[in-house]
Amino acid sequence: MAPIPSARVARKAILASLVAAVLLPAANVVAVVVAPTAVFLDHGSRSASITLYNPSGEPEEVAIEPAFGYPATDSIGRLYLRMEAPAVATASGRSAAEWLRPYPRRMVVPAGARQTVRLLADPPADLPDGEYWARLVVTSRGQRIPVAGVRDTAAVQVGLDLEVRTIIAVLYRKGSVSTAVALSDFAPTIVADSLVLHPRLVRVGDAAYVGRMEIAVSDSAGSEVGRWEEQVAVYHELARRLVYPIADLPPGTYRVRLTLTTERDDIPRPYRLRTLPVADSAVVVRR
Amino acid sequence: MRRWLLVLMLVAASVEAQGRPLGVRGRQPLAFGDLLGSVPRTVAWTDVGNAGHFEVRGRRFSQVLVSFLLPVELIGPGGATLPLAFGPGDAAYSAAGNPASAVPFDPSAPHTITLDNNGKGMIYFGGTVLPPGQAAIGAYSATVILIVSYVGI
Repeated sequence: MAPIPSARVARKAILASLVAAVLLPAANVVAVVVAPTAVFLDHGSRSASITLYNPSGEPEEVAIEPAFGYPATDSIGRLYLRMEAPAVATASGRSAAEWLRPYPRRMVVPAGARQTVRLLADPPADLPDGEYWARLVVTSRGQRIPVAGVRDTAAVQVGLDLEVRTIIAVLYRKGSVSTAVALSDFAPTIVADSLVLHPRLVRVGDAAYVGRMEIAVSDSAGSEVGRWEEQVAVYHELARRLVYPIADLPPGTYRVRLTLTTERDDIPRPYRLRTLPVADSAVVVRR
Repeated sequence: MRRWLLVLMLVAASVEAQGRPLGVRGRQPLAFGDLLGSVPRTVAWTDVGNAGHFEVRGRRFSQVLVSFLLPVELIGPGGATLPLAFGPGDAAYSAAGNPASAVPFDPSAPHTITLDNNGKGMIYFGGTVLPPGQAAIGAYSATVILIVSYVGI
C-alpha cells in the first residue's frame, strides 16, 4: 500500500539525516575461475583452450579480450603489469594480441557451469621465428552487491557491482627459441630488521625468461639461516626491490646468495626452456 | 586398461603442471552501517567486523598482482551522488589469512601478493563514505573493479 503524502514527507525528512547503510563487495561473491594460469601455443597447432568455471549461484557475464602486456618494474622496484596500446604493441614486434582470436569472445556462464573457450592464432604468413606474447583479460561481471542494513530500503537503496578482471599470460612460439638472463646490481644490504635486494635482471635470447629466484642466507659457519623464493618472468628487464625479514638473525657476518633457474613445475614440460643456473653472492654484516 | 590408466595419469599430471586456477571470492562485505547526513564514516581494514575481506586463490606460492579500480562516488537518482574515498592505508594483505599478520598497502596502486602454501591469501579492505546533508531517495550504485593477474609468468 502506498504511503499517504504526509507520511512520505515525514520519511523523507528522516532520510535527510539518516542516509543509508553502504555495503561494498559482499560475502560469497565469487568471480569466474580461469584455468590454466598461462596458455602456450605453437606454430604447429596454433590453438589452445581455456576453461571458465562459475562457482557462484548466479550467472556471470564474461568477456575475453587479448591485449599486449608483460611484467615490468617501476622506478622504485615495484612490480606491475605493463599494458601497451595497440600501436605500441604492433611496433614492438612481439605482440600476439592482434592475431589471437578467442571463441566465443562474450558469453554468459550459468551458475555452477563450465565453459570452454577456444583460442585460435592467425599470425601473418611472414611471421619470423621467435616467441610472441599477449595477455588474456577475462572480465566477469553480473553480480550485483545486495543492500544490507538499510533501515528503509524503499527509500535509499545502495548497491555496488563487482567486476573482476583475471589476466593470464599467452606465449606463442614459432621455430626454435632460447632464453637466458643477465644478473647485475646484486648488492644486498641490511636496513633495520630487513634484508633488502634490488637485483637487475635482463632477458637474453628471444624468449621470455620464466624461472625462479632463490635467495639463501648462510652464517659464517656456512649454515643456512634463511631462504626465500620468488617466481620471475623477465620479458625485457626487471629491477625489483625485495625485502625479507631477518629480525631473528643475531649480529654477525652473513653471505647472501642469489640463484636463478628455469625449474618451474607449473610450466608444461614441453614448453620449459632450460638454461644453466645464474648465481651471485655477497657478504652483509648485521650489527 | 593399463593404457587408459596411463592416459588418465598423464592428463592429471598436465593439469597439475598448469597450476591451480586463479579465482577471487568475497568473504565479508565492507559495511559502513547507518550513516548520518554530513558525517563521514570510515571503516579501517583492521575493523574485523566491518572491513571487506577478499580471498584470492591460485597456485601455491605464486605471485599475483592485485589492483583495484575504485569508484569515487555512488551514483543515485537524477545524478545524485554519495561520495566514497579510499586512502593509501585502506587495504592490507595476509598470506596466512589473519589480520594480525596483514601488511597494509595502497589499494589505488598495483600490489604484488604471494599466496601461501595452500594457494590462498586474504585481502582486507576499508574506506570512507562521505554522505551529503540531503540524500535524494532512490537507488545508488557504482562498480568496483578488481584486477588479478599472475606476474610470475
